[in-house]
Amino acid sequence: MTELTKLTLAEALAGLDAKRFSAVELTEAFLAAIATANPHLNAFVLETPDKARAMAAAADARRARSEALPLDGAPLGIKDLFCTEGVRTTACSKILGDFTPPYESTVTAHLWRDGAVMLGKLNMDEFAMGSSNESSAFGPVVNPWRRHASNASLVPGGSSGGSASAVAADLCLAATASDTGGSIRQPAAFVGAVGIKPTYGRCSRYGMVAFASSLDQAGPIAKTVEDAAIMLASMAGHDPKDSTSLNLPLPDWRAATKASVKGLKIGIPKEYRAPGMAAEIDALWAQGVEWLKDAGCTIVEVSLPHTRYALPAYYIVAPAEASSNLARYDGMRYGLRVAGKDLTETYEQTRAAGFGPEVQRRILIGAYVLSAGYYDAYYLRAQQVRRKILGDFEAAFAQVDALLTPTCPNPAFGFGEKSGDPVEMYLNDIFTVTANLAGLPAMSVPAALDGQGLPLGLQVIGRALDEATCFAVGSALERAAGFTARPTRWW
Amino acid sequence: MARQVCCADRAWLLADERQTRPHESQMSIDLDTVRKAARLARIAIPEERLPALQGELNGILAWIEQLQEVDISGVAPLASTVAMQLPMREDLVADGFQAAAVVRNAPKAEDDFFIVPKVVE
Repeated sequence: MTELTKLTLAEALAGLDAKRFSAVELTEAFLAAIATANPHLNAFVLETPDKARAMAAAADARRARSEALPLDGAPLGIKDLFCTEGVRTTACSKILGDFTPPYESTVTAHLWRDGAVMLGKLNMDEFAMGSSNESSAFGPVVNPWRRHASNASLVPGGSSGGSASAVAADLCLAATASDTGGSIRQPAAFVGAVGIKPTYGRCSRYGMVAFASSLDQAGPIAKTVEDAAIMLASMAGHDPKDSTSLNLPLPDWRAATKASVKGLKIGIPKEYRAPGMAAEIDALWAQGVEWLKDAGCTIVEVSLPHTRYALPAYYIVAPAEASSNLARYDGMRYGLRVAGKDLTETYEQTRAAGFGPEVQRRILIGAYVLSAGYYDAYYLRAQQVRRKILGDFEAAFAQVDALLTPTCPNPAFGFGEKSGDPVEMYLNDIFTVTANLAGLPAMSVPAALDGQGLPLGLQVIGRALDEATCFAVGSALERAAGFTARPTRWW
Repeated sequence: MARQVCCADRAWLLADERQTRPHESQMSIDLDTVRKAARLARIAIPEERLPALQGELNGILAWIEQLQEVDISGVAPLASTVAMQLPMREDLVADGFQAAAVVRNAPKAEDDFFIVPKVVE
């Protein structure tokens, strides 16, 4: 049965359709894999085996009646950011305590509508604030990958570290994730998986624990580009309950993964190349250019002159929005309450005990940049810089169909290596955060192993609403790279 | 306050930035400002933690300071990348009468009411 867990989502759905195995058998295989691996990887913060078995049995019954749904019987992991009705949802923060939502997020509702099976809730950085999954109230996630000849544990990236680790370790067929500054793509790159953040508005934010509302966007982490397309097709779609949800038809993204890229113009943003960048990452980027040339693409150098200002702008906009969004955690209506001598002290003690250090830092930065006298100097200016960044992309996309960049400036790193200095941790998102600020679709595809045996990813950024080109170019890179490496099982 | 140089492969991200930060000392925040932000954010910060937090916040703010270099004259702020009007809907009750579900997760509740600390003396 263990081999079942190695299937891709597409292979598993085909196997279920051909009745080579049942959804219950497939689900049992994953539950067994989780039971063995999770004490070592800490990818799941809550396992829901009873729910999984019931959902799988229902899927088998539908299939027996020839009424199979698009994802019927596919066991998935759900990032703990998505509210799941009757199943504890905490965003891996102490302040949500044992919060058990009486409602379902739209993204997960879409997955259950299509027959998917929930295996459990996946670990993440607290409130999705982090790039290493070290800020979770449930403890860090461990990356299934290790450096050659080393037993040292590495981070899986963040904030969707549980999603990435679970997919890479074959603990689910695919997982939901979310991306505010790179939280789908960076962990996907760190574990050799595929991750896509769609255009802002493609996936409803209803029932997603809010971090920075103008940047947050859901998407999948999966084993292949095709699997990511299958997942996104279910997750996305208009939702009247989110006023920023796009009411537009969803293209056939799975078909897009088979589309030719011949004749596409691919932009190489020169600002993403800088002296001192790890040589292996530069070399992989050059290799990606060659792969796309061989596939018939034309390569064009483009300029995104405001790239270097993206992260500083992000670290005003995101904390400002977070400080407003997280004001709701006041200890009155749900979650943790620490009693003080009066109401204000109760608020202050509750929030001091409930929020971890990184979340507190970002709330304080947000409160400061929004406070009287500083709003124009910080928040307004950051929003103006944000428009300049969007303008850079618009100019580039007048010349090219998609952009190719590295996903991250480095491979997975060790625990504690970047926790001493907040800004150094933030710099991990240098290549991913621009797509959030501009609302663009962007995908990370695993492309190679570095000299130490760790996965590296390439990023494809598309025009707004043009996930299809990301899927086509991502597939072309996937085919050319032939990336089949898997972590050596040590757990 | 100057930031420490990080590991070598990312030094380029910081190298020229450190040279172009004329305002950092002017814009750094003092302990009282940290206290004020904590008060605004309703987070109790123990007095002994304030200096370390001040250092961290100033590190972040000094790095953010490079935005002052950008010429933003005449640029409209961008709050959302979704170019659309907020949708309108009929003014009809779509949901409601779910008091039990609303208070289900409350730290303290009684008869569909939240129990909260006394607000008015």
